[in-house]
Amino acid sequence: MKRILIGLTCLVILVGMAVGFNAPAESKGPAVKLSFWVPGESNNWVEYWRGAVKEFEAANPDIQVELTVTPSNGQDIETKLNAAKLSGTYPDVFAAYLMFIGSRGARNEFAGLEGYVKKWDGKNDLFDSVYEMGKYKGKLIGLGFCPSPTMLVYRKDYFQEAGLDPNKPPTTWEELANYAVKLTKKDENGNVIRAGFDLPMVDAFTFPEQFMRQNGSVVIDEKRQKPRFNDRAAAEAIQFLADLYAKKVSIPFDFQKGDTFPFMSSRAAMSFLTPNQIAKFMESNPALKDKMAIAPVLKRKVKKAFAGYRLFVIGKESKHKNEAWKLIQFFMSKEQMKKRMIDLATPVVRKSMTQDFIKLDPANKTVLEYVEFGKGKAVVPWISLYIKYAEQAYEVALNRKMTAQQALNEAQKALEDELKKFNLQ
Amino acid sequence: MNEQSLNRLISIIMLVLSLIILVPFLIMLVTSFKTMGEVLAPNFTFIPKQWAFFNYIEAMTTGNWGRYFFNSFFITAVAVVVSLIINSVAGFAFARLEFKGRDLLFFISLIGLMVPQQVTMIPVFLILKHVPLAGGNDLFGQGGMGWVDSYMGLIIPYIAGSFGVFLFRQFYLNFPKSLDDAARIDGLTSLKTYLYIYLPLSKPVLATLIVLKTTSTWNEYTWPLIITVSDKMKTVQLALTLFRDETNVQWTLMMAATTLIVLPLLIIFLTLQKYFVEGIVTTGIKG
Repeated sequence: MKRILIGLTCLVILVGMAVGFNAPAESKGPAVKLSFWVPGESNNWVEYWRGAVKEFEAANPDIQVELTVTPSNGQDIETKLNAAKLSGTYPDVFAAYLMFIGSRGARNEFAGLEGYVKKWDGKNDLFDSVYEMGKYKGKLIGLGFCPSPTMLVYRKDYFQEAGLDPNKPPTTWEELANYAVKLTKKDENGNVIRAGFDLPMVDAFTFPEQFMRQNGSVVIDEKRQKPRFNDRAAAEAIQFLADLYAKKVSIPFDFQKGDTFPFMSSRAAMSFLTPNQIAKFMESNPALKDKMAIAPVLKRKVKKAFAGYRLFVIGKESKHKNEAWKLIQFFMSKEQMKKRMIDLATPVVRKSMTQDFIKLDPANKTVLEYVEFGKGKAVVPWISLYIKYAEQAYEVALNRKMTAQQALNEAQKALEDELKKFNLQ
Repeated sequence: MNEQSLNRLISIIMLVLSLIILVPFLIMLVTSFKTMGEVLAPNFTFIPKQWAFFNYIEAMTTGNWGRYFFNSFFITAVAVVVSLIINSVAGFAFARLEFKGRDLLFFISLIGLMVPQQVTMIPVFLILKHVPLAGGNDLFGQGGMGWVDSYMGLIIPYIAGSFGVFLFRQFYLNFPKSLDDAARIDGLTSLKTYLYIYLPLSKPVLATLIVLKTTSTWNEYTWPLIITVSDKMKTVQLALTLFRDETNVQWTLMMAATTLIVLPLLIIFLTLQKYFVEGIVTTGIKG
């Protein structure tokens, strides 16, 4: 018995060694192997990437693409990127979040794309935002392919219930506040049982930022790389939200947990959602398809929305930059964009395809308006520090511990001190 | 209050505490049978209105779960077996053998307990990437991927471990010296003493380490995250990220997959429970 056990143990070890040594060695195959990383999304997205990679390989037999679907969590991606950077296994092409343009662009991890874009036929067909979002200190290092605007959505049936015109959503702050009050349902004890408007309680920096920008604040001066979020315009915006919160028109929730929004469980009449969240909501509530609509971009001093972006970048150390650009060109082609538009409801970023997108669903006209007026996270290396302090200020103002102006002054000072401490200013 | 009443009271308290600890597991289980609509519904219901058994099918058909489970089983099995051998032999040597520098070596091995995994992760990654003649590398460890994205890369870091050495040493220190003397009189070498006397008496500590090592290897997330590149090398813990994106989690599928992932650990713990508790008691390790 003991001998059998010892024998089995040895066998397991030997098999382990054998399999281990069978690591993916460079075998004879295509001339070029590209590593391509994408953050995990829905299954439909993963299927799309897999299919598209196969199509690309079929059209380019001399190039093999190794697709890696990373977890979607930003911190996990950072961990993977750090290890890859240290070990020389950085991806050739990476579908990056906007925040990486600032954080990783500052460390010079992405290759410049100007040279490639100049020679590209399709360059004039893209929205300006595709290029604007991909610039770090004026240098183009990313190409936006997937805008993700945060859009004001509302429930038509709740509007009717509250005596509001379901075809006239709010377009100004005042209307938003008035409608929120009218749409809120409370029980006999004054507890909100259905929110008029989803006002997040925590993790909400992108939420107030759009209001700050609508009121004329720059929030962060990206040219000078300086925080500017304690001006009067920003303070007015935060104060407006704090005052609205005080009217008890919302149910507290975490803005980073998309499925916990009260709107997602039919407990709110208005909310800011991404296309991905809208798709999830529809998937869970197919009967509500005609009862939900998108309101136009809110306007105060200017029309502004918050729009994230996914961008293609090329690793600075890539030995196959030309092939990497070929892959990006393939993904930016009309055919691939059309596929993403139909299968994944992704807003297009080519001017020539806007009508096709609107034909697909008239509501897409409004979606494109959000893309057009959208601005994502500022491209600065210290974006995570800004988020930390901006969120703190928002929460302090919401809880009435300080005025919005005081909270923003303190937050900006704390951020500036920290930036000096780490020599980031 | 007499002793019987006191025991009864303690038992009731323990039972209540156990039930409290079980609540998250029960929620995991019932969520795995709910529909997403029910999970997001305004009113929480513990028992699903509709039993959505298809969650399990959908979860297991999202991605290559057969492969992920095989990877996790294989990595865990090899890591546990090899680490048991290394740790028990090292523990025996530190506890029962006299040799120069023994205590210093043991102290050095204990440093491993004091250094967080995050500190050693990148250096270990670099070492594994530059293993000579592996994964396309030349003799100097250059030019290829080494053991990155391979079973060796996933197994090797788990097989060492100061904790296991410490555990075995503590266990073997409890044995009387007369046992060694008797073995020596019978003409046994140190290795045979270990094999024929100490190892058969090590069931409790072996069970303890099997449970602890299996749990930690099976549940490891960060190391597989950085060492794997391709989908075919993913472990079950990494594969769970298939059910979440930047802002949303498919709770029903996530809980269905998690329930299945927890099962092997549950079986191992229940099988070795008796020895595990004994091992914890005899080695003086407190939770």
